[in-house]
Amino acid sequence: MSDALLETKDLSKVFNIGKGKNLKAVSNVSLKLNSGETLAIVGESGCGKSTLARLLLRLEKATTGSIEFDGKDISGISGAAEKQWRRNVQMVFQDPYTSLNPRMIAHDAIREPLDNYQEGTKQERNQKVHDLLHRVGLNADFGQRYPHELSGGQCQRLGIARALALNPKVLIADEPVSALDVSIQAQVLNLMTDLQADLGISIVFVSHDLSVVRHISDRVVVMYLGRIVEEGPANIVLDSPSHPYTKALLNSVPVEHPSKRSSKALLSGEVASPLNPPSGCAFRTRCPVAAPECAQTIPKLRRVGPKVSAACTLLEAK
Amino acid sequence: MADFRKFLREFTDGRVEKAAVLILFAALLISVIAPLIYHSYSDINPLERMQAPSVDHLFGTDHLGRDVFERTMVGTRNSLIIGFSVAIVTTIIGCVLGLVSGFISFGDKIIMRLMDGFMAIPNVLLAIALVALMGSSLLTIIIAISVPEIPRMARIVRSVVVSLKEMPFIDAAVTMGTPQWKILLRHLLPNTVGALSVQATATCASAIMTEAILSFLGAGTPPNIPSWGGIIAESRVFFQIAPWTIGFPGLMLSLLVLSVNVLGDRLREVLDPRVARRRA
Amino acid sequence: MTVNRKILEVKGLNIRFGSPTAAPTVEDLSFDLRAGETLCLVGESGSGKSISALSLLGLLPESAHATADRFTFDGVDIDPKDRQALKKLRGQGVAMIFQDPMSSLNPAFTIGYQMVEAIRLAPNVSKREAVEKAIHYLELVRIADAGKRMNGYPHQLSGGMRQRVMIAMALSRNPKVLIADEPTTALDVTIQAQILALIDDIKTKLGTAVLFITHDLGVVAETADRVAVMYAGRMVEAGDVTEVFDDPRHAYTVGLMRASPRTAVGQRRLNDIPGSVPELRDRPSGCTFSPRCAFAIPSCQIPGAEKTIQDGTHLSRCIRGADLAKLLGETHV
Repeated sequence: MSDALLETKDLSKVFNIGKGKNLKAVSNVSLKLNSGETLAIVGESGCGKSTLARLLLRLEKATTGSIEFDGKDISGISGAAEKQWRRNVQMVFQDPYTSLNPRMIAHDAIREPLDNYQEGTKQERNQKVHDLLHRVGLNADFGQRYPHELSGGQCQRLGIARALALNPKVLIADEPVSALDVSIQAQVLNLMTDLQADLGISIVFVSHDLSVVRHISDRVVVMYLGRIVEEGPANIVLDSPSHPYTKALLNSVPVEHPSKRSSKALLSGEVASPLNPPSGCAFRTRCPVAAPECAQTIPKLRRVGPKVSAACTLLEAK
Repeated sequence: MADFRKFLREFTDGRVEKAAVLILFAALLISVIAPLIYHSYSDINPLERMQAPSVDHLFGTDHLGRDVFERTMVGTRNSLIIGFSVAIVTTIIGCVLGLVSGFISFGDKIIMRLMDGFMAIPNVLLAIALVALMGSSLLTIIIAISVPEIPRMARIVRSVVVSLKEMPFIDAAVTMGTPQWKILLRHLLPNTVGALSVQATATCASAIMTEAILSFLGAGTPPNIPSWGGIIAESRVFFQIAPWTIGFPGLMLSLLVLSVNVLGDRLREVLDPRVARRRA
Repeated sequence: MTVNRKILEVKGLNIRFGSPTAAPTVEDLSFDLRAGETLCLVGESGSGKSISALSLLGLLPESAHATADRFTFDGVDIDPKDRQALKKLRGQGVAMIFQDPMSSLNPAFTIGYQMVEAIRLAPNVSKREAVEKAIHYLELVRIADAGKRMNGYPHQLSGGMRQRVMIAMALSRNPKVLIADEPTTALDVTIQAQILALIDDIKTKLGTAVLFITHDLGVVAETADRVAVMYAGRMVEAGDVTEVFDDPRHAYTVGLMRASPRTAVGQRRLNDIPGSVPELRDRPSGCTFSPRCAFAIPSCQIPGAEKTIQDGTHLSRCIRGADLAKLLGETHV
């Protein structure tokens, strides 16, 4: 596809955690975010999804691989070019409270990005802050409040308003609703859906919650121990998963009605340590269908069905 | 102006705080007025040595017949100057060093090793050495007390900055294009104010005490510049026969140090929007 | 399902903070818990679900005042104000596990040491017996290599493992009631499924009564026998889990179910609940949910509208409860 807005090629991130130990948080991730779509990155803790989000935001420097934005490689940019690029990609954080400066009132928090880029006159900026507050469903008088005087849901709206201030093309949301109550979660998800419909913004939605992902995303990338294990349209991947891990993950999600309870085949054990990943396929130590050849080579992501790719040696390529 | 009144109202909320503000205010007033009206505080009067407090000599006289009340009143200014100057100098320099070393990892190694070096020297010893080197004056005393206090302040600011740096709101600032200097000034500095105000007032109080210690060791302000510490130090050998010579300046010293500490804690609360609004 | 013995019976529990006459944070809470069943207390933050559980254990801060019309454990009356009696209960009858197992384990001691110490709180247990018992319970919660794990420190375990250790520790005192406060919220879904299965297993095997506190209706659907929905300090609906899921009788329960992305398949927008949970001092009269309720009518705000309506085993505090199914049908069109 040519309309990829954000694209990574063989992106890897290795953290040196001292004593000569290396932690491979993200390994050879290649993915595309098309304009106007919502791409979900799904996985359990330690799968590298948050690191990947930080790489996309250039909050971390990739160890190897490249990131392209609008067809241009942005891996090496710095200074003024980096600053100009930053306005295109903005972030919504998981914890609505700690992502806001506790000593800054809401109005100033939203105005900060506008000040940074000297958008219009001071008056215009203040007006824009008002518009943004209104856009995310907050009263103008919320502008004078400190974060601790707002509820979690209100803080998250504020965080979204701040991220929208620079009219970004891409919004990267790292678990934006996982800290919120169900009723508030629905409000914030609705807000994001509306914003996308109105502004045509592209969203990278990092989450561990498959039902939220199924609701909001067009495409899904499933990660396990730093690698993509499955990728494809949300409805196909989440309704008829190919990779054994995706299957297990979906199987672990609680049922929506007590009548659907069943004794499920649970995934045994826990995610292997990223400091010492298993040879071959990282999932083989927990995989119910693992075969000897799984320990030999690291499976590559390849087409296994229409529009769906998976990284499993046992799946036949199509 | 309305903001300032609100600040003052919050600041003086509570009996202890009100008393502390009054004491501090009185001390300030004394330190301004006393030198204007008392000129004979250094006059030696052998005929009136070590007299008990009376109408003529409210705090009595010392072993040279000097009026303890006058000396104490005039000494207020010097003690306050030393306390506040040290607090201000230490806060500014310590804050800059702490911010830089907490934020820039390259600067961190150099500055912190330097600070470790300073901290390894006992502060009284350093102060005595400095006084011996530069001669005894108010400025020397201030420098001598500030130097060993700076590393403490720098370390506290640095530790706060290091933990703040990991907060998501700093990441947020980076992603929205906030330049580094602005992150330092708008996001990090304001959030160190709590720790700063506590440490600054503690430093102020301890500087007044340290000056007294230095006077004890004979490295304090010269006798023609009376300070509370100096007065106490000079009279310590006569404590048993003329306790007032130590009692009154000592009481003033304790009251002021206590007030400054109380107000430091309150300052931290008032400056923290989380606590301030909850009280309101 | 056979009706088992009542282990815990709570009637008219009120919890107030500050003064004994303050507005109740938890108001008129009644439920009972039977051996071998799981009762889920479900609600959002601020609903009072955790506070209620803590009050059963006497773990509320000093400023809290708990009163109840009736509070019995295994047939014995207990005064919820009597902290000594509650402490005894905590030692023998009721055990609790928390959301964050790390905060309830001491990082400075080995797992084994902490377990043995806990077991030896009971009189006349030798050290060797305690060690054997510890290993037994660690194996019961399916910790592989239990003997070896005993020498490990809490930080060497993953979140799921720590939660297993906490469960083992709780079980080692043979509790009749296990209170689980959001035990899987901090865990990944695959680990959550393991822990839920484990708690279920324990319930069946040991006949322990489980009071499971959660905010997640999915977890309720997965694990509960009975469910009590809480909102702003009140239990707004309670009943058999299938009963409540099939035929919810309180507008809040309906709202929660419809707000979940699980139930909104194919819809672009979720059915959110507008507004947020009212603060204690702003709780409206009558039904506390009425200001956010899509089905509210004027009489919902009249004091008395919050009275419990009983239909068999199904309780609700919604005057529109019986009509909800019909009303829902209309809004779908």
